[in-house]
Amino acid sequence: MGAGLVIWSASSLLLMLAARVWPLGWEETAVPISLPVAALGPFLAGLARPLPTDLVARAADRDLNAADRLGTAAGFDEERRVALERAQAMEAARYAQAHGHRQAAPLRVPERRLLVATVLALAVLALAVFDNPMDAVLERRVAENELLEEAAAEIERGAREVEAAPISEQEKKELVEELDRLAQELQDAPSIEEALQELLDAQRRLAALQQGDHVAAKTLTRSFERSLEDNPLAPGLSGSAAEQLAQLAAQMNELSQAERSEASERLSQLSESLQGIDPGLAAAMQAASSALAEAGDPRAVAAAAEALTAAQAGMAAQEAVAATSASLGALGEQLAAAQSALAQGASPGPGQGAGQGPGEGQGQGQGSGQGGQNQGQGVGAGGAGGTNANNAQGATGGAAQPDGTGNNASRSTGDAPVYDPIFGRDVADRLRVSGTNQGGRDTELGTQIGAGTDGEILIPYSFVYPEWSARAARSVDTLAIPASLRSFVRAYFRSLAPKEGR
Amino acid sequence: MTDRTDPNAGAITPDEYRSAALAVEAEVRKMIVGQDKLIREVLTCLFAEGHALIEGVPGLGKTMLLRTLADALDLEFSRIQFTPDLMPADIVGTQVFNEDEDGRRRFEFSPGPLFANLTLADEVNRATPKTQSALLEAMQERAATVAGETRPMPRPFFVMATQNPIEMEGTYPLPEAQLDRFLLKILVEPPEPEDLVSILERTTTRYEPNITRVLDAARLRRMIALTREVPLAPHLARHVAALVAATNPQRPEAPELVRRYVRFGSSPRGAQALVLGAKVNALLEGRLNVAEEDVKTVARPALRHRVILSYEALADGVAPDALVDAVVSHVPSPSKEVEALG
Repeated sequence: MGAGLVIWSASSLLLMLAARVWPLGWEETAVPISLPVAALGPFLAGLARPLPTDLVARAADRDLNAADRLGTAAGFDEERRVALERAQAMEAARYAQAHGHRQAAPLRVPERRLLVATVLALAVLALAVFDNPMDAVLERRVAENELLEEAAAEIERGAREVEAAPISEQEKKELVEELDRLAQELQDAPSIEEALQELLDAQRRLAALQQGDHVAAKTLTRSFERSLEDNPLAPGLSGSAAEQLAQLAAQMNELSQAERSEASERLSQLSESLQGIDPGLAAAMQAASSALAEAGDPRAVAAAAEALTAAQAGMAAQEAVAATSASLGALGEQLAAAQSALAQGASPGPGQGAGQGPGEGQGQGQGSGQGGQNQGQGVGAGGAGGTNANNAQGATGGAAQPDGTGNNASRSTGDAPVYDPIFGRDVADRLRVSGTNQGGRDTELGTQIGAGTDGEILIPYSFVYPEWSARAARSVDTLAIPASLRSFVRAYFRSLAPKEGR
Repeated sequence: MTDRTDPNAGAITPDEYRSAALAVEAEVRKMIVGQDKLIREVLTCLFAEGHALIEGVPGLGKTMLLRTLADALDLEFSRIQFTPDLMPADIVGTQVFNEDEDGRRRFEFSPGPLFANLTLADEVNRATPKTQSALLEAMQERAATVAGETRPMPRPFFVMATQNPIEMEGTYPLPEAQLDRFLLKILVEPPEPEDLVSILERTTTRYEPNITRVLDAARLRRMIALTREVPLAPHLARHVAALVAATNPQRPEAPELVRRYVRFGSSPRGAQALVLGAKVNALLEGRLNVAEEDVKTVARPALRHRVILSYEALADGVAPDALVDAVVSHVPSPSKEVEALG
């Protein structure tokens, strides 16, 4: 038992020391659990493998001070003993019988071994009491694992949402498989760094699925749709753009020249806008425009209706892919922010908010704050030209950026300057914006002006004006605007009405 | 002369053995005072049928001890005073030309003083090597060759030799081969003052102890036979072998002191001497088995004359006993082997 205790205490000390170099995490559980094993091990080993008789007899000789009587008696084969050896064996037996078996084989721990085991055990106890620098590493790993689990769950939820999206089964299958694979990879990822790399890879694979500029195409078609709501292609037409085109094809011969010309003009404008974005749809629209202008074949208008329907279905798929990619990017930002916070000893607290810019812009933002500084980040898409404010980082290919705002999750102190990673549309375009240590105090939202992009204005003014005008009229009727000024507002919007040549 | 062909008839019990030995010891103590260890070691040689080399300065009672021992034993005893002019024939015997009653003349063997059960070879290192060699053959072979005929010595046969460690002038130190024939080399220490008082009382008065013969040859042979029956546990046999091996400076298990000061270690005879001495010691202690302590008890007398010192040891005044002690303390005790049991 003494040897078992010494081995246990020595191995425990080594384990505790190793746990201060490598983050093990199980040492403080293993040490007490192994103690009874070490103490009882020799007994169990003895039961499994009995000691040789002569060795036990010699040990009894030592304990009984028997001058090698028992060891000698046990050292000879009973069959081959000569007379004196037989007598000696009997004398040894008598000697042994005169003593108890507890005297012959006492349960004891050699003092020196017990002393060594005690000293080592005290060292183990001291190591257990004092803080282990590896505990912080372990806590960070646990937090990272939780984050990765949450991220994986988030992606799985995204996959379920994709299943409900109005896209083709093949596209659903590809997206769902990609997301499921990513969720599994995140669960298996040993660190956030690995997880971020997996996210980046997944985004690249999703980017490969995207074709053309579906955002611009969708923006154009939606704007076209909205312009038709208040101003149909021809009197008496209603419904979506595709439906109106179909109705137009059916009624083309009944329309006046002026009506056909106006419809032709609008389709021509749409066709021009779609050039470079969706050439097929642009060509179909141009053919329909020509047919209307020249009172040609109505089937060209019907073909334009079918082309528009097909293009809108493709846009939905592309939009699903883009939305998935964007959500992965947002997830990557959260993980990166959490990783940064963990590395600096702060508890992670990623926040997420939705930003809304003026006009038709849609924003998606997330905020994180460190060192007492609040900082907002937003990702916006669409909308008319403008600038980014409130620390917004927008990225939309070619399109202007709206304002983006984000909800902020404030954090407590941090002494060192902090740097939050900010992602662009592509995670590869990773930026870092330095923060300012505010000594733990909360501050107002940042007012940093982000870089805007002067993109080409793609949406015809005539498309957006009716919606703006209608919305302004509704607002004038509902908002608390003095009645004397309402006519002034209406006049203003009338003055903005598109005119020939503008 | 006692019966040489006694077939060792009849057995002796360990108790009888011990009683007889103690009786002899008691008889010797009537004359020898304060030399219990010396007496015990001499008796060890006697009951192991080994030869003893007793070394001590003059006047310590070496010869007296052996003469008293001879008186206590019903054995044929002879004493040879070794001198430089002593010839082999003087101790072994020679052929003499005799004429019998019928007038026939023939050579007859006249045995020398060596043909006795117990021979006291006094100051053995004063004889020439030639004579020492004659003694060597008799001690080892228990036989002597005279005129081409080998004649066995009577049994039991003991040579108890004495030598003086001083007065080396004109002496012939025994060669290592000769020394190896002695079972034990026994050192005689000067008596303690209180023992010296007793010695004075016994030797300067009319005190004449009556030494009784308490042991005859037949009984002694049975005791010798019983000695060899004492069981020696295998682990102790291994321990003895390790001790002897450790006296050899070439062996890895030899202690540093041995490597430095020993030229040659003990021969296997050293191991035999250890075991036989330990067996006698066990029986005299009332045990029927050899114990580790028995081996330790006889380690010095059994090995001290078998450890051949180097010149460096002689120059540094290293005593053989110190080397033997170093070996005994260096070789792990058999009890260490069971320490792992807790």
